[in-house]
Amino acid sequence: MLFRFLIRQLFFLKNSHESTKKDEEDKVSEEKKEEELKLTTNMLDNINKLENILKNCTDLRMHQFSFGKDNAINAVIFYFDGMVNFQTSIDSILRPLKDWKGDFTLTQKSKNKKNTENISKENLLNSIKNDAILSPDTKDTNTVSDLIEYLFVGDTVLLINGLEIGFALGTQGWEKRPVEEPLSEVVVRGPREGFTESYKVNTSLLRRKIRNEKLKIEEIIVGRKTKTKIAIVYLEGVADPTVLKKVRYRIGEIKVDSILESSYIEQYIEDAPFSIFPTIGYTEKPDVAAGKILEGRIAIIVDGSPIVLTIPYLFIESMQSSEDYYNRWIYASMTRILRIVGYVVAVFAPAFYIALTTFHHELIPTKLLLTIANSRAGTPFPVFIEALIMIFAFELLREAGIRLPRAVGQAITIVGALIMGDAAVNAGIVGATMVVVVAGTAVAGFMIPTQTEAISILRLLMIFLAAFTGFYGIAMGILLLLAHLASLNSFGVPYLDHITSFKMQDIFMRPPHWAMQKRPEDIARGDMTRREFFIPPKRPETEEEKEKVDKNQGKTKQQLEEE
Amino acid sequence: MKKFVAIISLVFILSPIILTACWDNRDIEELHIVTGIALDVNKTNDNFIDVTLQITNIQPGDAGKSQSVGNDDKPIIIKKSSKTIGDILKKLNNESNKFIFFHHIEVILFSMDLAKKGINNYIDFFLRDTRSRLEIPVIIVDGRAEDVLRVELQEENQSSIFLADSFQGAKTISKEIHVRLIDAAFKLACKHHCPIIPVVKVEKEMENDKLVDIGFVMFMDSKATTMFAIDDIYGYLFVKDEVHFTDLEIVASETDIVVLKINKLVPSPTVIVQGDKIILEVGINVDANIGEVEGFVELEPKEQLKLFEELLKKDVENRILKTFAIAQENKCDFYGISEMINKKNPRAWARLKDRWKDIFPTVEVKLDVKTAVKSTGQTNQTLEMEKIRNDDR
Repeated sequence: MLFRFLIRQLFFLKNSHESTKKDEEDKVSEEKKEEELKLTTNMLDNINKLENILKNCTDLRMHQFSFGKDNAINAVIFYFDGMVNFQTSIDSILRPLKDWKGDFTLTQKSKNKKNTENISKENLLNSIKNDAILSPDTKDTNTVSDLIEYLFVGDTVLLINGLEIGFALGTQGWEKRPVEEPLSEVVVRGPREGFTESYKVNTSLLRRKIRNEKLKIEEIIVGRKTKTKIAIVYLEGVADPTVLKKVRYRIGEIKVDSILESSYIEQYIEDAPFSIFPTIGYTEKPDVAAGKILEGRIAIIVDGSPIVLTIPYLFIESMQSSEDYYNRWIYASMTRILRIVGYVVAVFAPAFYIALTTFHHELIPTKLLLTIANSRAGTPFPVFIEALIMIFAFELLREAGIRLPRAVGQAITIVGALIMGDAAVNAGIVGATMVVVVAGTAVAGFMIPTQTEAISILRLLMIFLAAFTGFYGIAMGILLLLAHLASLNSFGVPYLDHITSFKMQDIFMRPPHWAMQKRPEDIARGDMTRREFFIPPKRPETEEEKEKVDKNQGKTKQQLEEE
Repeated sequence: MKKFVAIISLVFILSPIILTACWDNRDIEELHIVTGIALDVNKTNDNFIDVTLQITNIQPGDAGKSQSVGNDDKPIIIKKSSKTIGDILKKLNNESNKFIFFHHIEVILFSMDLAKKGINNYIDFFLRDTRSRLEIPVIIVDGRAEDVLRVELQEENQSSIFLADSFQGAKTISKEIHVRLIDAAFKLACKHHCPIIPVVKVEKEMENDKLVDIGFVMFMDSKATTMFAIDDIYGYLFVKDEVHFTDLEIVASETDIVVLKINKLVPSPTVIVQGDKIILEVGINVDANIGEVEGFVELEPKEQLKLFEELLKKDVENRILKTFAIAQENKCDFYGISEMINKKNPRAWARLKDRWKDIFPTVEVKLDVKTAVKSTGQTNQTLEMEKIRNDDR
């Protein structure tokens, strides 16, 4: 242990020393580069600099033109093909500039009179900015590197001869998927829209759900090469500031070259990277994300991913579904309990079956035992191997079905079902009861989409334990599992919170909305109240009735009768 | 702390390997699942017993067929003789290709001959053996017990399962019919309490064999003595426990017969001890419906109900008195009156227990039967009555 500690310390020292050295070198070279990449008054020079950096980028487009009185001012626009909307470019840049007839001549005459030249430059700049360009999203900068970054996000860059300032104009317009119903979270009742790969669409979807000035969207850029935009979305005064701090810090600490999907972020910032349980939630539906934000959770949107992360994430959340909140509460509670039962079945059913049929035959009712015995008669493998074969076959089919086009996928499912269900039994390779157990387990496993991965692994573990040690092994497995679950936490919130602490609101039951007065404890901080008063279903129907109720409040029955 | 965690996890990991092991495991197909056991007196050697086992025949067959219990395969019957059950089972296990799995015995059968010699030793074996279940029925067979296991029934190919099911079904009438291993053991252990155990017999009806309940046998000093007919059991059940859903045929005269369906009969027996005089007071509430009527054509429905209540009361009283008389005649206290006195008045019992065999025949029975025939069924007149009414018009 000591040895390991020493090695870790040494590595840390070495790394920190190297990194400080590298940082210093980087700083110096960056400063040098920045100076070289400053814009000058010579437009051609600027064009050269830009083209030099974007050498071999064939999708870079350039358009030179002149405008102003007598077309005296030369200018050029740059953009990336496919990333800008031509109509916007024409309407907000080219046409207004062409129509603009300002009289500014930056000629050689004024070269010696520095002051006047500055004034005229300033005027030109302001005039173009205020009068000529119609784009509401106009940024100006004096470095080529900034301009290139703007180009990458779909802006059009405008360089004007005689100005050391370049403009970046918001003309983004690329092909994007429309807002569709997410395939992974289909609902019968509830909003159908889902997040898309577009960052702006995603933030706007949330903004439209929560029209409140307290909804904050903080932006961080992560990824040295991809420069991916990441938004931290939360409700100020409701979200826990300590969790928020942790989220900001952990995202800020990600030093990586690329972020292509929100799961990258998840893996960099999660609490238990070695656990099979997810400690960060995800959703594809804005209504779910909005619901979680309103509960005090923090959402993370990653540009280019339709999956939005939610933090903190508790174990019980995997048993909740957005439809729980849209369906009638009794049915919703029933389905939630069903999901919990399904989870237990999915994890333990094959293990129980194996333990019963290899160690504890006496626990099976006689007739069931005879049925199982008859179904297993003549099968060549022990139950344990049989279970492994079936689960392996099932996982194969599942994996094959997911990756294939839908039409072929269905064929695979049918073939799989036939092979698994009938042929294998008829051929005497596996027992019919095992097919029933594995099929039931598989169906139950799909009830809880966020835990599917964990369930697959746990199921195998339990099968091994049951095959070697029977119920004793399963009991041990359950103990270890509970210990592990209890040790997990998500951004400081215990993973089993709300289950172990018996704060029963919205756990096994989904109470009616009017009964859920408070936001979940340990998640929200500050404004905990969802609604002011508990209003039972039997309530005053009109203002007069309400007044009467208010007036009579606190009076005894006798007093009321006397009145 | 880390050390502690490491030790604990090591214990967790190692303990399954040390405490249990995969060499304990046994797949179902490696088992001979025994469903019934029959004990007989050996024909040649009186000191020996024959133990016959009925084993489910598990055969790989058609996928569809093999999945139901009721497949066509006849059960496997194996038999061995020796002095003790343990020895026989050991021998059977040695000779068998599969492990004889004893946990799923559905029924224990004793032949009447063995029962007359005494069954305490054998009951003791089943009580000690961790593999046997205490709720399975104990049944006495009139004739050879092994014949019951060999019998081929139309309803079920395993007679042991048939018997277990039918006794389980009889529980809906009264719990007292179903004599479990634990009940038999408990009653046999009491000196003054004579248990009664059901008796079955193999009979031939047409071409087929049938298992018939023929009555109950009384046990005195753990030996079977006298048997009484199945009809007389009602006189016992009506005093012992609640009775549900049974039909009573009451013959009023040659032409007038009524069958009453008992919905619920609730007895409340108490024992009164006055010196050596003991009175068994039983209050009984009966709730019945009319099931079938033959005759009684002159009576209005209301009159019928009154009469039937009267008849039912008499019938219940008669049945109880008859069965009680059988018990007293044989000095066999299967009602458990001794137990009731002991519970209620231990001092009196201490005084009476030595003379109980002489006192029991003098026990008086006082019955207070309240009957209510509430419903006439779906119609309140028989077709015969309708006819007479129509003729009158």
